[in-house]
Amino acid sequence: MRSEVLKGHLDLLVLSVLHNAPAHGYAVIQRLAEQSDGAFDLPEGTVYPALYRLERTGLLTSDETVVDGRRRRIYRLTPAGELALGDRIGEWEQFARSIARTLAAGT
Amino acid sequence: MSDDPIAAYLTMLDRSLRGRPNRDRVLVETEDHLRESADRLERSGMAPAAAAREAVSRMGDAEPLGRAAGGRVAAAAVLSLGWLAAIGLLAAAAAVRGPGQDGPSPGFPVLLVVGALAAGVVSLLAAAAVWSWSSAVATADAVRRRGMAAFAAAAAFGLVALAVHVGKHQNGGSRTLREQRALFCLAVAALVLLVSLAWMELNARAERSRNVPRP
Repeated sequence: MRSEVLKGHLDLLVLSVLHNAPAHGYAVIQRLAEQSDGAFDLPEGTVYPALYRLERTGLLTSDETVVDGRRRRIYRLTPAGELALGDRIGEWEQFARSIARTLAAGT
Repeated sequence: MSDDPIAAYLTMLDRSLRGRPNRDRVLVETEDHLRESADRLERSGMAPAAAAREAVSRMGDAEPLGRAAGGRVAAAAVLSLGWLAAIGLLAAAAAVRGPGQDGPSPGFPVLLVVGALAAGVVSLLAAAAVWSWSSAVATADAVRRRGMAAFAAAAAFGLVALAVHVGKHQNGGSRTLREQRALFCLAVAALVLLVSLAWMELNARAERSRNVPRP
């Protein structure tokens, strides 16, 4: 999938993979690839601006921990992030239905 | 140039992070990512050097990652201006003429010294606010808090400047009266700073309690 198409939805995808399962940046990328059967294969560095943006807006929070002697930052959804995820899923479903209807009418 | 592609990448990233907030955080997080990625590639059968190169390649350019950490800020300039003002006021306090018919009253140098201290403190607070405000990884609560810090710094700085102006130039009233007015301005500036710091601390505590992970 073209990365510019995916980037517009990266925040929603990141919120989704962190839902109920805190993770560090590398694990977020792995989950994105696994849950999309490899369709979402972005340069790995692109996920960090999304993580920083979501944390800045209060939808994520993070804590540092030490794993195998390395400092690791774990991200988790805040209560506001949980609410935003629900809202954005609703918006996405409505958007997808509208696109599908439009395409069906045109073919 | 390092033989380790990961170290070389981190050096490039470090360069692009110069002058940005959260430099240490981004470097540590990126290194953890690259080392984990290389470890996994090695476990899948890749040679160590090739695994490190592949990990770096998958990460993408360092420059955009550095930019994502937050904008370059003028915190150093704010701090420099504040300290220059403080030094200027101290110099004025040292150079001011002694009490006399045309000279300032004995309290005036003290007023300048107090103003210099206030300018130093205010510029420190303002620089911290500017620095943090531009951080890409600050939370919304933190941004509000830093906004308050910036407002407090600006208000206090304005009041200090007013105090100096009133103490030195305002016509009308005796020197003692002018100094009393100037000291009143400084007291209000101190009050603004104290109230702001208390508000920021309460806000930070509320933020921490909201972000406690749920069971």
